[in-house]
Amino acid sequence: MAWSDICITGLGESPVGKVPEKSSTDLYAGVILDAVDDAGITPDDVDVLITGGSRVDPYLYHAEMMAEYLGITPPTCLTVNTGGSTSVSLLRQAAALLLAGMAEHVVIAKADNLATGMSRDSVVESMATIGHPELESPQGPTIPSLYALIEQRYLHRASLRPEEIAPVAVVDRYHASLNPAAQYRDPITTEDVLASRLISDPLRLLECAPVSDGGCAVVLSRRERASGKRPLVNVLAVGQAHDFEHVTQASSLEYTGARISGPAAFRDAGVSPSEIDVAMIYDAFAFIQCMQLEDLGFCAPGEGAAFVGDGNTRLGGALPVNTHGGVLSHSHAGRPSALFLVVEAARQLRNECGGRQVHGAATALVHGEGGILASHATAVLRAAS
Amino acid sequence: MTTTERPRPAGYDDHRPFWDGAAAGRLVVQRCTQCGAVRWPPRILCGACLSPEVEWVEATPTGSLFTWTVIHHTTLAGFKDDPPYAVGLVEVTVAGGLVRMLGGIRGCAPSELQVGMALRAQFEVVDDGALVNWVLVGDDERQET
Repeated sequence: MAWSDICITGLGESPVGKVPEKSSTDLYAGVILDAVDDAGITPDDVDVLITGGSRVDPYLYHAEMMAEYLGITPPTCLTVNTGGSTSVSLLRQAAALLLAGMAEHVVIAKADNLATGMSRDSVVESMATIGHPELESPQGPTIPSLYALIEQRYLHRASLRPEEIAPVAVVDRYHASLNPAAQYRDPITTEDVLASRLISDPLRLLECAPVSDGGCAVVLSRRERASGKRPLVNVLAVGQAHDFEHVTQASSLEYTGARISGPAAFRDAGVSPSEIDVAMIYDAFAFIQCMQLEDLGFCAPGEGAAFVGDGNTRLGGALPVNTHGGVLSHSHAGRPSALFLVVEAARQLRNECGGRQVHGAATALVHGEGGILASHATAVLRAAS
Repeated sequence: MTTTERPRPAGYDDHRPFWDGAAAGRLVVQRCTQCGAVRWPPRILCGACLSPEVEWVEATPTGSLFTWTVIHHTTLAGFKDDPPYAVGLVEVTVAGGLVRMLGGIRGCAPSELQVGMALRAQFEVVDDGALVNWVLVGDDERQET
């Protein structure tokens, strides 16, 4: 067994946005069953069930609860309830189980109903413990404000004005307009972004992720166990980097761990940035995409905003990014957001994206980050030959 | 203002000297007596050499604004009446090393905030210690005279 024997075989997605008729558990069940069916297997074939838990329904043993709900008894159940990098790094852990012969089919599922299952403020407050409870929280920093601290420093370092970041949100929205499944589909302009209200200077509303319901699931399988129902997607490599938790402790706030996770993934995959046909980059806040484009090696330091502003990341550009609409416009149901990046990358490589398809897409990159740009994971995927 | 909903110093042993110092108007941080590295937040071992041997050193309560933001919208119940309020990361040089602290930036308009500006600590006494906020050096001196 080698990494080339590890395949994404099944994908499942729920509607996103406001889905008031479904509980988080209902959303989970739907995407797991859809992904399993897409892989051409049955729920009983699942050896490992990994879920991301739910903020609305915070079961301690969430994966076990979902297995019970589905009437299955997979030998391994894991609830991994961390954030934006985890959906990508879990590809590595799933591959390890498959490579070790400890599983034949692994399901990774994430869903939640943050938009309609709990009040907006309680959602955001539930995420607020990301700061140091004694030494940071008494100062009232919100999650957007902790990101804004990094953006402000990034703008200073790269000699950028806040308005140069806005095209990230515009491109995400343009791609969402091509995706019937996205939550926010009405095109916006740079002027719209700059006219939206300040949330935490320099972050404006349209540069911040929405709050959504929704979920998705991915099946990874050993190649010889794949049903062949759908085109196979290889996971070539996953790189990870974990630097800090609190923003005061970062070794640098001007560059990110993508400078480590990206090159590690490229090295292990035997692929260079110029070979990437389409990229999915976690962007709960617009500026993140610019920093990550730089740190992953797609453009020079300080040129991420210009790279986006010049149209490179739009469909038809040199490197289409976030063709589903990104976290900013597709959806942000919390933990599912980065897994949606994996789903979209796999759909591009399966040539299933219709009006937003990147023609001839053969190799894709997915980058997730979690915490306050603290935890990073980069995956390189390729359409199996 | 619903101050009772605000997070407050918890009073654990490892942070006690920091809060006691702040309550007395002194900015103190830890320094490893093995390798000399300074650190903040306080913890029971040195992140550079893992030594538990530590001393507390007093810093000149001035710093440089590494980065900042002005919060215009908050979902934190204890702060809902506060926006806009500024928070920054402040670099403090002490005993040959450097620590970054997250603190409130007070007494200046958002348009005045600039990366690199000189700040002075201002201690806000609360129930069980004092929060460390920061003000522009010039403004602080004007207030004192």
